[in-house]
Amino acid sequence: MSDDGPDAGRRLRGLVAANLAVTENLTLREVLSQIVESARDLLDSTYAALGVLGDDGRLAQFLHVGLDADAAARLGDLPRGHGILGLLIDDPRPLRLHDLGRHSASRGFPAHHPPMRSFIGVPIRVRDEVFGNIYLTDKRGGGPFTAEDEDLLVALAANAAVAVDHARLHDETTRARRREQASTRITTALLSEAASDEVLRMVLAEGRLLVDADDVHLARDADGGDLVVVRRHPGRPAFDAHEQETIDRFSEQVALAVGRARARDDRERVRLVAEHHRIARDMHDHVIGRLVGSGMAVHGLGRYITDPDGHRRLAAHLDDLDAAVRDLRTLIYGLDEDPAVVWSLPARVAQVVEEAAAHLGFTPGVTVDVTVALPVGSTVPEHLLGVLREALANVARHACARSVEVTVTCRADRVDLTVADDGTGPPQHRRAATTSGGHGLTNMADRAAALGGASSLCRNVSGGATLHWTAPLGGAVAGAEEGTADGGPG
Amino acid sequence: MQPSRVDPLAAAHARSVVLVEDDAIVREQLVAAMRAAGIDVLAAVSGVARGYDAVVGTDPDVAVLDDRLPDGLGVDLCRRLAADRPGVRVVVHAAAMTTTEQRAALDAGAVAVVSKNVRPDALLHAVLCSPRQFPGRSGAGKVTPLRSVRPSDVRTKQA
Repeated sequence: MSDDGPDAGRRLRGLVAANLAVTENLTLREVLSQIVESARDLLDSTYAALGVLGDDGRLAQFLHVGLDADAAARLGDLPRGHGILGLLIDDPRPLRLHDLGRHSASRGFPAHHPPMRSFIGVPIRVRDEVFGNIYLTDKRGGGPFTAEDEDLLVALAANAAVAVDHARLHDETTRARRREQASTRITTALLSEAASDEVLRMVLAEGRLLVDADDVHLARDADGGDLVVVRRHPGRPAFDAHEQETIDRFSEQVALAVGRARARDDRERVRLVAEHHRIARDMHDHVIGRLVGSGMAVHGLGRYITDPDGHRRLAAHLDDLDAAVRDLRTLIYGLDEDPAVVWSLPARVAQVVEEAAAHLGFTPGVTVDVTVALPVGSTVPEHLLGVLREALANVARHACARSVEVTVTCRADRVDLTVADDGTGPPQHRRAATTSGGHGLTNMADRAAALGGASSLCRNVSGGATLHWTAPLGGAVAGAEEGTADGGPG
Repeated sequence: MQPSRVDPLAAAHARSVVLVEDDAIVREQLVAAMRAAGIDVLAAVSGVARGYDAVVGTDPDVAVLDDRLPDGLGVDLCRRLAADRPGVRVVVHAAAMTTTEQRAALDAGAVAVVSKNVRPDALLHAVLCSPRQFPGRSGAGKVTPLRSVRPSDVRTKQA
C-alpha cells in the first residue's frame, strides 16, 4: 500500500470493514460469501469467487458473485479446479494475470461463459492448510490487478482464514448442539405414543438436523430392502467420517421407526379384515335368517295341505331348505358339524343324572360349579359325563343306596367329579374291584389316565362310598404325577 | 354330604315360555309350534329391552332368545337374566354361531344353544328337555334334573 492518497484511505477502511464483517459470529457459509463480496468491493473487480478445496484436492464448493443467476444457470456445472483455477491449487501462492485466456494452463472458457481478462487469485490458509482460494477477474476500468491489489487481497485472505477457523468452530459447536437436540427428539419420538407414521416423519425430519443434510427420505433398494437416503445439495461438502458414523446410528433409529410403522400397518390391515369379516358375517346371518323365516312359513302352510303326496313333496322341500341352511352354517363358519342343540355342561350333567334316576329309583342331588369356561374343543367333558354315567350305573347295580350326591367342579386348571352314595361301600379289596365291581372302575381309571388325571373310590366314614375323579384342563397328558389309581382304601 | 338344592315344587314341568325374536314370521311360526306342543307362551316380543321386561314380568320356566336382536345380543340378555332371574332357563336360538360364540352363550348361563332350522323340532326339544336351574342361586351352571324329580324325593334329600 504505497499510495497515500484518499483512495488508499478508502481502501484501508474497506479492508477494516471487510475484516470486521468476516469476524462477526457468522456461520461458515455466511463468512465465505462475506469474503467474496468484500474482496470484489475492495479490489473493484467485476467477478469474484471462492473455491473451497475438498478431500480430493479439487474444489468441493464454489461461491461466486458478479454473474447473475440466469447466466450461472446457463453455465451449468461449477468449476472443479482445472485450468487456471488449478494453478493455485497445485501451487498455493498469489497469482496475477493480465489475460487469463492467454496463459498456457488455460483450457479456454466453456460455452456461455462471459469473457474475462484480468485475474488475481490468492490462497486462504487456515492453520497451515490451504482451505481454498479467492479468485477475482476483470478489474473495473479494464486494467490489470496491481501489486497493491495483491497485498490487499493477501491481507484479506489472512483475516478470512481466521474468520473461517472461527466460523468452523462456531459451526461445529452449533452442529453439535443441533445433533444433540435432534438426537434427543428422535429418542423421544421413538418412545412416544404418537402414531407410528408420524414418528417416522419426525425421525426423518430430525435426521436432517442431525447431520446438516438437505434431504432425508426412505427408499427401496433393488432387493426390496429399505434404504435411508441422506443427501446434501450439490456444491456442499460431502459427509465426513464422523457424520457417516452418525448416519449409521441414525439409520438404526429409522429402522426402529419403520418397524413400528409396519407393525401399525399390519394392525390396521388386521382391523380391516376383521371389519370385512364382520360385514360378511352380518350378511350371512341375514341370509340364513331369511331362509329360516321363509322355511318356517312354508312349514306352517303344511296344515292347509290335505293331500298326502303334497305333504311328502313339502317335506322334501323343507329338507332341502334345512340342508341349505346347514350348509351355509358349516361352510361359512368352518364348523365340522352343525348340532341341532348344544347343551351346557351343567345341563348335560343333569340329563345324565336324570337318565340314571330311573335305575336308582330316586333322583340324585346335583351341584355343578362352573366358575371358569372350559377350553373349546376339550375332550374332558365327554370323559366326565361317561364316568358319571358309569358311576351312577355302579351305584344302581351294587350299592343299595338310598341317596346320591353328584358334584362337578370346574376350576381354572382341572375338573373334579365326586359321586357320593350312602350304600354298602366300595368293594373290600382290589381284586374284587377289578373282577366284580369292576369294569366301570377300570374304565374310569383309564379315562383319567388318558387325560393325565386320577380316579379313586373311597369308603365314607358315615357309610357308603365316594368316587373322586379328576382331570386337568388344557393340554391333557398321559401319565401325570397324580398317577392312575383305580381304587383306594376306605 | 350336602343337602340337595332341588326344589321339587319349582321343578314341575317346564311349560311356560317367553320368546324373544325380532323376525315377525319366525316369531309367529314358533309361537304356533310351541302352543301346538302344549307350551304356554307367556309373551313373544322383539328386542333385548322388551325381552328383559317380559321375562322379569312373567317369570317363565324358559326364555327363548334370538342371538341377534335389534338392540343388542341375545347372549348379553342371557347374562342379565342369569343374574336377575336365575330360575329361568335360557335357550339361545341362533341363526349362525361360531363354536366360540356358542361357548360364550353357555358360559353366560344358557342351558342350550339351538341352531335355527326350518322345522321347530330341535327348539321344542330344547325347551321341553331343558333341566331346571337351582332356584335362589345366581350365576351360570347350576342346574338339576327336571322330569324325574318327584315330591317323594323331598324326604330322601333332607337326609
